[in-house]
Amino acid sequence: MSAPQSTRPVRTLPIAPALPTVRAACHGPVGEGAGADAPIIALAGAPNVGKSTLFNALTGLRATTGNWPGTTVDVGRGAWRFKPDGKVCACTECSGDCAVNRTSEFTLIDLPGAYSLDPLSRDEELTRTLLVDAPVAERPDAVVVVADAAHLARSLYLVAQLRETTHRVVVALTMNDVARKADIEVDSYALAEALGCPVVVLDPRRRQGLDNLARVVREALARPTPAPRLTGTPALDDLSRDDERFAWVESAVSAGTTGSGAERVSTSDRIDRVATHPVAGPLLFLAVMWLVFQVTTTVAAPLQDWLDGFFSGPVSDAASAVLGAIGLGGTWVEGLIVDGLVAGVGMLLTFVPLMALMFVLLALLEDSGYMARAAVVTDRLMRTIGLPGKAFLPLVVGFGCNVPAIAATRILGDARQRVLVSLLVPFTSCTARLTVYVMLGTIFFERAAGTAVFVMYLASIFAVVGVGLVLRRTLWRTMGAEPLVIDLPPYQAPTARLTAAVSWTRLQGFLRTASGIIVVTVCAVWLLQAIPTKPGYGFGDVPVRDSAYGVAAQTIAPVFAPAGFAQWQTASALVVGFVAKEAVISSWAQTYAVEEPEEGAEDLGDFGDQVAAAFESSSGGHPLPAVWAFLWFLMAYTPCVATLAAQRREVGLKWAVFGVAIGLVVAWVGAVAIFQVGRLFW
Amino acid sequence: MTPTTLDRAPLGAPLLLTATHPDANVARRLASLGLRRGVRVSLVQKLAGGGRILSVNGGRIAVDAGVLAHLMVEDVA
Repeated sequence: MSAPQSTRPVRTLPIAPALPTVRAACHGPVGEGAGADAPIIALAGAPNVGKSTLFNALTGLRATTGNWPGTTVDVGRGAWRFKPDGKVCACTECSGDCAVNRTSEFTLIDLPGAYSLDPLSRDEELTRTLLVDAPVAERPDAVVVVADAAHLARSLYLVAQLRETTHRVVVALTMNDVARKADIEVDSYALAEALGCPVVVLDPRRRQGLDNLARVVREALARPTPAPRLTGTPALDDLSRDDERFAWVESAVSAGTTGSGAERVSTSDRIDRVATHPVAGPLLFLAVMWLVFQVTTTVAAPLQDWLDGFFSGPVSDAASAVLGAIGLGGTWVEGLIVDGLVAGVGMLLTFVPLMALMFVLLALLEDSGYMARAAVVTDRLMRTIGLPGKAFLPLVVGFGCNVPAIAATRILGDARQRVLVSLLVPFTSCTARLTVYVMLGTIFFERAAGTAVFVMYLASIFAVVGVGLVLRRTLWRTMGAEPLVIDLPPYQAPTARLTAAVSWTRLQGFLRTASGIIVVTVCAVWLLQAIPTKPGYGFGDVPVRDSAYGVAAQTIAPVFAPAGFAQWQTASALVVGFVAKEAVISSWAQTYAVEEPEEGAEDLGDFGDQVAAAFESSSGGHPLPAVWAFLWFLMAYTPCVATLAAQRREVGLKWAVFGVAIGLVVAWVGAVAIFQVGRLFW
Repeated sequence: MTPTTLDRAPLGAPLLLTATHPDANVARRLASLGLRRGVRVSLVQKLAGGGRILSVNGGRIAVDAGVLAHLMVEDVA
């Protein structure tokens, strides 16, 4: 995003012109800052102290938040507006009407969580670059360090380092309710005295103390930049410097707090006895994931059906009626609008209940603190493919729908892990693919259809692990295995406001990106089906076989000959499946000019017979290996354009294209192998 | 109790961390969570694969067995 233009004199950057700074090159996804002259305030702090929640509360924006480490994975920027309340300047001449007192807005920068200014990850590196490596004139005017009152010591190391610079520092103390429950009392005045900077007690989740923070920051800005704190001997080595900082932090904590909950067995400990137990923990995790999957699919299904019926019924009818009334009924315009746009947008909107539910459930899990436990429980399994335990969650979500699963990769702090998981998610078999498994299972395996479907789910897990291992040992071989060292925040009751805000932001993001791509692709398919390739047919009035779409499918079909399913109708089903697996059965049936079979129907009638005959003929008398090869291909190649759109948004176009290539290669090679080996036996 | 590594220490006992991880990056990560030489810790919960949940300054940290095997502790009860 573009940063607000500064009216300050342009300064050269002799040391590192490419460095991002808070004034010039912030690349946050969240929002724009305040006016060009507004002071820039950076929000820093250790992970999981409520920093993004405070950012959202102060700016009204919607950065991603969660009760677990690594939620902020980029830099956000927003306008923090407030009512100036009284004179804060130290001028003796003015009566309170100088620029300092009139300031009513700041540009607020939300930095990724960092325990210190010595970076161990890309996010922490960014925080250091913006606060330390940038030239002094390009740094923020003040830094608000968000500190967790319940675990003060670990929040203050960053303050110790910042106080060694000339940054104006204000400490915003959060989690005060958690501290009180642990019998920790914080004396903010004594703490401020010990730290040498103001301390403000607040509760961003309930929006308390925010005005006070604005006033204290204004006061800090009105004062000259502070002198760096004295650290004793200037030539300390790293170890001694660390010791000095920790001693300073301990002294400040001792001065500013009384009591400690260190030895108490908390409610979180009691829950963790089950949630992280070696046996019960994984079982609970599976139960939670099953519940997420069940609730998402079963609750959303009737709503999806209703929306589907609504768009294909009343909305399409109304559109046709309007077009008929203006003389465009039965023309290609009606085809484009009703079959293309209304159908495409309708299909996108049928996903909304499913996505909304998934996002709400994820937000609840994140806000409650359970996500950190899930990461611990799944750590060992995911480690086999070089990923941390929390990577398991997007993969589980993928079995419901790949699109929210791609969005869920944001829970991973490391960018390389996010890319890897985004490439693996499409191999998780979503519910849309299930409809095709069931149909082919019923046609070819009759009573064993259920077993065939189960085998496809095992194949899906096999593909995830197999592709993960290959990528880990090739492109990702330099990605070091992280040791498991993870902070377990206390459990907390999720707040409705936060859950709704986070879910709504994610849903908006999905709709914004997916809508454009889906509409364009659906229209393109419709257009290809409307274009005749032989004389005697009009535009929009041509059998599928003789349309550009049919001809294209006939051109592609020979590619599948080594896999045993080179019939053009079968290939066309896969082409449509690239757009959305939901459309596979209907378009497949359309190519045979028969009615779409009822879902789950035992008697598939002509359609089933024609599909069976197609596989029999294209496989040279080995239909079963050809069907398994087809099912493998369907499971492994690109799930749908919505997933591609989500991938493009999360990891960029280059990786999205790479993902398509991997999917096609794994799908084709696997399908050919299955058919060629299978036909030796069947 | 004689000095031992944290993966062999009993649950619930008050312990003093006498030596941290030899890898500087891991040591810094542990220190940022409060786990550094001279602090009191106790083991709260066993995890699969030999990991443990530690209590440090009132906070809880999950650490795997590989890291625990490098952390030396003494019983201070």
